[in-house]
Amino acid sequence: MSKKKIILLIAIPLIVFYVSLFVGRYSADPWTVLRILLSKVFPITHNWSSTAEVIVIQIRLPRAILAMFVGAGLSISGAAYQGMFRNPLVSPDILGVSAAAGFGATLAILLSANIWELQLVAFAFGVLGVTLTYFIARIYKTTPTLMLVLAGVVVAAFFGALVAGAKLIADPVSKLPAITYWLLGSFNRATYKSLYTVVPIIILGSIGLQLVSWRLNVLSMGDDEARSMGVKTESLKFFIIACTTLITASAVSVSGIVGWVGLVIPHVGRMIVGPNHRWLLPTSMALGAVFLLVVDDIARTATPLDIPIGILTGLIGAPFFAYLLRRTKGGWK
Amino acid sequence: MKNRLPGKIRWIAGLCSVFIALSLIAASCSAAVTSTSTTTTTTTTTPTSTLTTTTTTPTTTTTTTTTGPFTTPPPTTTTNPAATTVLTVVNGNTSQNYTVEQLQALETTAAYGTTKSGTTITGPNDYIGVKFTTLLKASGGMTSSEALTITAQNGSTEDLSYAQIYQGTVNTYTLTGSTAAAGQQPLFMVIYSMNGNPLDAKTGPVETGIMTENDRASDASLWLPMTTQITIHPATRTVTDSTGAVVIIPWTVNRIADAWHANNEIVMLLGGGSKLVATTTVVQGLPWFIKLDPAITTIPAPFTSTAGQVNMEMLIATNPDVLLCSAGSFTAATMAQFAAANIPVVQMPAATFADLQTTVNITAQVIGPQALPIAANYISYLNGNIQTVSSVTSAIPAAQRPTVLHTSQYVVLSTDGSGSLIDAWINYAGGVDVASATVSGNQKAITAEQIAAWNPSIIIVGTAPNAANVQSILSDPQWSSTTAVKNKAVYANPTGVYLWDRYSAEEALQILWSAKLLWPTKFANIDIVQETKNFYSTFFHYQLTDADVAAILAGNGPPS
Repeated sequence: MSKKKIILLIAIPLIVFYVSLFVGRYSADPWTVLRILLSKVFPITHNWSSTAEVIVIQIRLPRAILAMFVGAGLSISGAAYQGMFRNPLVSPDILGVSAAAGFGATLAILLSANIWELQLVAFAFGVLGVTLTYFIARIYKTTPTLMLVLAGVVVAAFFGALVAGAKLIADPVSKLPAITYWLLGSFNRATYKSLYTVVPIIILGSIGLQLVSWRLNVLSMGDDEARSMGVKTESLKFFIIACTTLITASAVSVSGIVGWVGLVIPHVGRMIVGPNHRWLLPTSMALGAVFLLVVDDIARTATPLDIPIGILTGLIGAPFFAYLLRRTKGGWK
Repeated sequence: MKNRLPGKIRWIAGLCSVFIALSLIAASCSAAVTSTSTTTTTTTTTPTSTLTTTTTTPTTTTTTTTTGPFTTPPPTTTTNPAATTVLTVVNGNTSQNYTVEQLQALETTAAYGTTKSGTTITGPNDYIGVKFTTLLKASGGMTSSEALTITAQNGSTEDLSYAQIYQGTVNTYTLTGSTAAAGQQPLFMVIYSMNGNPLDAKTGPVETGIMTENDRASDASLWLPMTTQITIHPATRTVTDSTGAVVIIPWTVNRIADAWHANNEIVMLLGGGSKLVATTTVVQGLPWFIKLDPAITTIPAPFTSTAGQVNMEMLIATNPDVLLCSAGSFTAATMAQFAAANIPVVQMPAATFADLQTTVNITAQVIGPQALPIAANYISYLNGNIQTVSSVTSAIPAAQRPTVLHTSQYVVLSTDGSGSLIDAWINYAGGVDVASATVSGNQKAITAEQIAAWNPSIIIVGTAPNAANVQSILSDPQWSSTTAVKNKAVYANPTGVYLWDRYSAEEALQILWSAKLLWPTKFANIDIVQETKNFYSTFFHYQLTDADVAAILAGNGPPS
């Protein structure tokens, strides 16, 4: 890991972040944006419209921060899972967190819950879904990865069926569009209030994963090898699952289901810094943050409509993943 | 594989023999049924039959030959019923009037009739009357492509098919109430005498009844007391729907399935609410609809919120005469299934105010002639309101018009752009739809930033829970820069039987409400509370209280 790469991985997200604040349907020049931001800290005369201030401070800033944290969180979760499962096709929702959180959100919408209750219920169901998966997969105090994957498929299928059923009875004018839209993911409802709950969880979870990154390297060689090297594989797996679940569930609860980021970004990270998790995890975070922020900028700028983020990540992520599969010839380096 | 083949062949042979055996059994059963029915048909002519139809052509006019077990004295009536017309048979342009005497002059029949209503069996009684077939023959006959409507003095009607009259295809029951096997052909008859006496005032002077063997009963619902008219008409009629399809529907539509949520309200408005036999789960969740027509929750709902979805078995089980839907809501494959199930489908348009009128007209045609004046009345009311409002607002220059955002912001933030009904009423009301320049169509997701950039001066919130949504917009910092929020000009859209803002009959009220909201001084004469009360009383025959109207205007359900 060269110093140049480290500087770039810090600088690029910051530049994209700043650019995001003056890109949008409402034109605000970079200088005004800078002064609006500084005016929150230093006394500067307000010579801009209140609309510009609301758009930069209340709409773009929380939205950009949220997109970055969700992108970072999903990417580090994906990288950790791909190492733990020793499988490049694993994404953060392999254990059913997205499907379960999706059902939680659907339920909240059907019950006309407000946006905070919705976030809470989605988070709770996401955690519940993974808990179910974990206990279904647990045999004789061990959790073989194959059992985890299969149990995840079971839980995801179950909650997916519940969502499909709920959509059948939802009101087509108010509830159904809300459910459909939520399931495709969007940062449109990003507010500071949502940041206060989501950002700390994602930071804590990421620190947790970073702390076990070298054990993750050992684990990625296989359970038996890891055990022979003195790693307590079961408690390590539990810790990794707990961290990624908290990250993913909180990300999904506020942004809806954003696919492909957690699957594709770790591969890009591995191309840049190699498979050592100590560097792969933070690199994935930086790349994920930039990727999702750019995608969200497109989503809110390309048309007056708010394009669901899940559509764009799929449109960009799927062809890219196909390219990667061709390039690596299905191999896992 | 080779050595398994004989085993496979044995299996197939075994299956075939089972199949052949089953079909033989089935064939012999059907043969048995056929032979039974043949024998019963022959028994109708033999005197051993218990359905004693003694056909007489009386020379005397008043004496009745049958004496029943009940010997009640004949009722003393002040008027002579024989002198007045008691029955009219209409066939096309010709009609034939009958007095009781004239009926008695026809070929008369004496027979038994028994009714079953629920578990109550009444009869058997001795009836004398004239068979429908005789009456119809006297009026030029009836073909198998025709049907009958019989009308009672109180206006209630009953429809009878050719098969019911000429083949007696009605259910019969034993006198204990269980369904009876096919017996002799039940006969529809116009009755003027029961147990030797003229009919009483509750059932007569003539009644439609079904003559059966003396140990058989028929459904009381098919009997029509105080019958005054028999009309012969084609069995079907056609309605041209919005796709140009000429749809063949029964002459009298009694059973309507409606897959289009908002159209259920229009059916109710046009007086066809009691004809609805299948609706949508969405309609069954509309608080005001349920308040006005509680029966809506008791009928099957084969349609869900997902457009184009249908539970075909559930729909077929409701035996609908016709299915109403918005144009293009079902795929060709589903339409083929409807056709296979002999369910005529009438499609109607949804996009504009002109479409709303077309939809009301087509729906009225489907319901029947009694709905046409209601439709005309509604359309003139709708156009009157459009005229009232636009005659004032059309003079307002574009620069003076307030910018209006109609939105729903539950999880997804959305608005309706050009080409939508919402855009249309905002224009009638004298406003400018902020979305119309860049967004087209219904319910498009938009960004909070775009709303701040549009900076609407009035915001109308159109999704339940409307009132809560208004509060959340007013307190949301993301909306705080808009003129509407600064001036607290954020309003809940009214919701009645259906949403006022889209697709519903209550669009007529929405025009008045929105005009008054945007231009209170220009429309000071509009009393929206009174208008709403009048509308509900005229079209839904429901008297709203002040509290009811307040709840509707706030977008809430009925006050408890």
